[in-house]
Amino acid sequence: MNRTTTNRREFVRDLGLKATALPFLLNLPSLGFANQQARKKRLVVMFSPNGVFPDQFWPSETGSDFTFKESLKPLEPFKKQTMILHGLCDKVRGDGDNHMRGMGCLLTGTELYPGNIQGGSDTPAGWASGISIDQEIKNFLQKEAATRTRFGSLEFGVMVPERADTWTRMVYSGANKPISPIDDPYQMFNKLYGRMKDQESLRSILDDIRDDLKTLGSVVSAEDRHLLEEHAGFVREMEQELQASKKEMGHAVPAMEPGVRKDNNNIPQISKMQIDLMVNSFVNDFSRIATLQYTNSVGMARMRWLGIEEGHHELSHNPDTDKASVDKLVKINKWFAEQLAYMAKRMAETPEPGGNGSLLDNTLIIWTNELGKGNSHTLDNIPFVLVGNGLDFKMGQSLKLPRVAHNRFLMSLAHGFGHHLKSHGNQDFCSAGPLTGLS
Amino acid sequence: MIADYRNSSNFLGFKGLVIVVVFLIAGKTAQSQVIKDLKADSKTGEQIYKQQCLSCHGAAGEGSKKFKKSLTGDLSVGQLTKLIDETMPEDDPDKCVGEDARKVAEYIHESFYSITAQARNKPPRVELVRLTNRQYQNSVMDLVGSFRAQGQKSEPKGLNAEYFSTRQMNRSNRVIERVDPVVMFNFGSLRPHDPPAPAKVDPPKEDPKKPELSKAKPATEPKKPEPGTPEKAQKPSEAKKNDQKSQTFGPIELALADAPKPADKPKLEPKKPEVSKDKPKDEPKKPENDPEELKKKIEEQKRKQREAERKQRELQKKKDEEAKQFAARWQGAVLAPESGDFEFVVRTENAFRLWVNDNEKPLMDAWVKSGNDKEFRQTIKLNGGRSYLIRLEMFKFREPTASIELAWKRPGATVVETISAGHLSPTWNPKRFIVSSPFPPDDRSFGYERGISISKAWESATTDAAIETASHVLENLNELAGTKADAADRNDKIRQFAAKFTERAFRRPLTDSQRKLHVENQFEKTKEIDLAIRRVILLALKSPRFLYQESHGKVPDGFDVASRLSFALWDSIPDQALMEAASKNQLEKPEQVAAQADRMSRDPRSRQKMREFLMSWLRLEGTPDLSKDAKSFPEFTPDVIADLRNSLEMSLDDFLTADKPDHRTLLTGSEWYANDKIAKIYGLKMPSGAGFRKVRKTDSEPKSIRSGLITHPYILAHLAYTMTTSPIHRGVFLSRNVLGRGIKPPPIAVSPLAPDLHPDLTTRQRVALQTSPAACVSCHNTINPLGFALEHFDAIGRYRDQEKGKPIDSTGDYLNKTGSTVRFDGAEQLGEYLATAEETQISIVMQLFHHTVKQPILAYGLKVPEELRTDYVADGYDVRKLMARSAALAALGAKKPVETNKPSVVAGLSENDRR
Repeated sequence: MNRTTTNRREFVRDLGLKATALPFLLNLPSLGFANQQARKKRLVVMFSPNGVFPDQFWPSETGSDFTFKESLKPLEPFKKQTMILHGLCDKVRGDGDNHMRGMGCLLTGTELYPGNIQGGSDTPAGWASGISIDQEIKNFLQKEAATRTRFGSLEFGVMVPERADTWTRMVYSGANKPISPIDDPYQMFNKLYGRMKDQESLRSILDDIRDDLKTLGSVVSAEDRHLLEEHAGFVREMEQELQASKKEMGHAVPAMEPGVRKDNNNIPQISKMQIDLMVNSFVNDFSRIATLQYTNSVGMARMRWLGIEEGHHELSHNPDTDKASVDKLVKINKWFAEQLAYMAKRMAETPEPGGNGSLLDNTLIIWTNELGKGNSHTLDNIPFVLVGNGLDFKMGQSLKLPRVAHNRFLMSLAHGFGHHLKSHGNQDFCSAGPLTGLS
Repeated sequence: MIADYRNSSNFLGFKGLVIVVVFLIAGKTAQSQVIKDLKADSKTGEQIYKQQCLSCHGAAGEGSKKFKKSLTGDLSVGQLTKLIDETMPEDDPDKCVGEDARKVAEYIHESFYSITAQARNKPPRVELVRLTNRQYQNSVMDLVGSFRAQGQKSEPKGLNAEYFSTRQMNRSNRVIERVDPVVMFNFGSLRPHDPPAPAKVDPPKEDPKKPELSKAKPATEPKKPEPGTPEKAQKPSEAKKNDQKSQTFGPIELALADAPKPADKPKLEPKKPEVSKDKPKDEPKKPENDPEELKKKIEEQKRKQREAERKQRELQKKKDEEAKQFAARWQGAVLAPESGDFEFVVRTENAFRLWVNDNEKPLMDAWVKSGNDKEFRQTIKLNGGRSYLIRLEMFKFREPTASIELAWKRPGATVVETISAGHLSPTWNPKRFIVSSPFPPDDRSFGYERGISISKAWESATTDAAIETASHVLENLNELAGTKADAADRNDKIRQFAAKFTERAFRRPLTDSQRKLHVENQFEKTKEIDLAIRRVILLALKSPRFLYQESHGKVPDGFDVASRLSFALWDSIPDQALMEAASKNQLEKPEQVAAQADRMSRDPRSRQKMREFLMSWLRLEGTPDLSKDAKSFPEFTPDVIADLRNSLEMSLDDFLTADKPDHRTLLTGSEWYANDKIAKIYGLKMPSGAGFRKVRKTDSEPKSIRSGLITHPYILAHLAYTMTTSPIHRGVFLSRNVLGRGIKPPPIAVSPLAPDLHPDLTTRQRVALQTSPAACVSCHNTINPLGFALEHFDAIGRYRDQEKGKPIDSTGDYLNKTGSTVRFDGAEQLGEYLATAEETQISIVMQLFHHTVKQPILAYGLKVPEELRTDYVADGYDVRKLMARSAALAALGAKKPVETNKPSVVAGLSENDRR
């Protein structure tokens, strides 16, 4: 079942609003910079749907001397930090259609449970039957104080439909436990910075409260005044704590453009806001794992800002001979590559707090998809485009692999974090161990 | 005297102590007067004080013009003696030395110097109090809720149910609409509206007493029954109410009800496929001249036919599939009988979603059916006495069978039980805001919650709760402020909301300066309207004007009266009607206040408060551990305990919803509720499978005479050890809680005599033996006879004739406060006495007043207890009226200023309230 809907109570708990804790998160900085010596490693998984148009995506060459095809052109400035992995295949079969398995097995590498979600073909299915790799790594990092962060992982989304099903969820905290991405930047902002806003608000009203207590103290009996004086003492204490915490917390709260609503036409703005929030959360070391999910498997975004009126999914079904549609599909994927490039740029420009180099030097971004190609619905040659040096892979190359199960790549990610798991997802696809030749 | 007084903290006991001390002083003072008269040269401390100290220190150590400091402090008598000996009087330190110094020191220490003396000298007064946690929770909920539409009221009878013939829940697909008392169905492989399986056409005649729900389940129930989940939770009264509707239950009856509906017919009986129409049309017209043509035509025809058949098969397949699918929706309100964490449990092999108190975010979402989980649980905090919207939707897709049960585990309970009709109503309710920030517990040292102390933890909790509330308000701002995101007047509406919110939080109109500070300034300080609202909410909820019950410090006015009434009767802020009455000056005359109090006392919130009182009075707060020795009582399982608890609560519900809740009915009458499981253990005559119904004298084993709730098996089992009864626990409960006797804690720590050390003695004999020492007798003379009267009920409250082969002696001689001895034999006579005793009346008056008003009753006048008692008796022991009277009396304020430091008077009233 889906237990991931963040209810208000969980939300408040996330904010750390507990009477037992010091109010207003005095522990944040200490958590945030728990380990300044060891190098921080981060992983970002970015998802876009409906496959790619291979001829305009995959470089013809292998090795370091390759040229970007049209879809990937925006990544040119980051060529040295980019690795393009062709030949990874989602070999997981079982219940569900390819869009469902493409999504549900993408990061879990394991079958979907039988269920009641009926796709366009095949048998119906339910949720994935295992944990996704990002959550696996998150759990690994959260176990140790040195790598533990306030949130462990952050799940961003852009225009994810308001329904929970196998097509809309790729992150799983365990079998049958999908995690919903937060696609409202304001909600994400509140999750990340709500407390600081509350602190500011509190600071602004404390004087008034103290004045009020004093006024009342003057009109009640001496015996009752005692209670109010005691009360005023606690208010004063809170004020001192707030002052102290203000000094400790130096990180700027990012400014948010107000009033951007969840709407297809606002996708570019929302995308930028989410990327900015993600980069900022890394600066504050709120989390070392993040996912960014654009729409959903079978996503229907209409990219009117590119002059495309049709929905992404319907376009992806058109035959290769339909030149106009192919052009549009290439445009769409190029736009996603631009988002990836923007993320890489922001990270490259941001120095690693308390460490060496930039955020990008310590982060690996993976851009992936639920399908290899839209109109064939193949799960072969799923796009995996990597940017950043977070896991010390040998970047700046194009690789063509011989139809390798993607489970092995997922294992490589965990190994890159020092989490030497023996398998991830369906063990049948893991016997050869993590991918070799990445580093 | 036995030391084990587990749950016996009770304000009366405490008060008893104080009273005794006060008596001692009174006695001492009197004694010193006498001595003075007898012997002039042997002066008392008081006399010496008057002669040598008073001129500077004042008559009661309050000081004088010359010497302003009051004579109070924390030195011991010895230290004071030394100080006086060496330094006092200042002008002649040698004047008061030695024995005289000691006498003076003793006198002032005892009379006004020490902390205890100061406390003793303070007359009971109405104190400035902050909101209790319960009041805070309710106030915030009602404050936010006052900006939403109000819920509909209705008798609890179940949820609105709709059944749909497909997975889509469209009006056009709806095949059944009705009220389901509970959600517990096993549809098997059929749909709710399908015709019955042939074998089941002839259902057996139903036992009218048996709740109908079982019909929904086939005789062989494939579902693993969770202990305690069957239909037991349904009250017989409801069962009766729903007799009419019962006929529509389960697949069998549903089909009958559904049969005439045309909407579903096409699907049930697929029409003949269209191909059959074509055939006869074509055939006769066929010319036979051209064999080629003919062949082609035949081919064509065959092809068409094949195509048609394929289509038909597909259609049929789809129809077959659809014929197995259905959807259902139940919605309405669920009443939380108490406050705390409720674990909702849904058991189904199909897909479902459950919403509780939030129509948007489901509490549980298993709409994606995935894997084999069949039980789903999620916890939500609810405040007691309120109804919350609830909606459950399910659909069957390809699963071979369908079933569903909506159950819960109530706060502190160990057993999951189907949510009973008594907690469900088919009405709409708004979303309610529930503060989830934890608060430190309130002071209960006097037996009732009082907001008399504050701590850092509390201060911090109010901050967390204010932040939480502000977040909720911001998330729902447009709804609460009655505006829309793009409305032109949105800012104005939000400002108005801010002012109203603050006004309702403060329970009175804002003054100009308050409006400026609390509203206008906040909007001027920032352009961000969300930030401004956040600050307004924080400022309002952190303000002492919200956090304290009365804090404006002026002469009480109508708004104070309104607040006092609402906190007394609802533990919450006033409603609109009260605020209107206050603003129209309609809360000035006692009869106006009484009329409001009467109206309010009929509200469910007031009923909830009364329920809380009864739970506290019966010592049932939390969920006591009733488990018994498994060897002695193997049948007393957690299920049975849960059933007994339900049985008790049914009686409580009857009491609370009665037109005249008469306290005597709690102490007398042999009726109680039982189902077949309870019947089996308690020797009642009930058919197997019977749900809850009232047990009357005639069904009972002939000798078992129960007498009201105090003899309910749950109470009796609670007040017992794991193997044997405890006449002392029972006796202390009856003395303190029912009769209001000030029983002191045991003077010496004693552990109970182990039964195996005296294998021949009955429990009664053992208790009598242990409590025979002189130090014990004074209290146990009161305790034991009351407890002994219940000796016919063993450790699980089951009737017995003998113990260890000896007949039960259930006689008792009780010496009441007037000094006369009352003799009773057994529970019935005991109950008769308790029900009418004046001691019981005054005890209930005082306890209920304190529970209601949360201020000491004597602060409103020394005669108040007796006045209320007289009215109470005149009202026919109606506790609802008593509660309303108490609230009205307190709302109008202390009638007479209380005289200071007259120990004899105070003591006389507390202890000798019978004079």
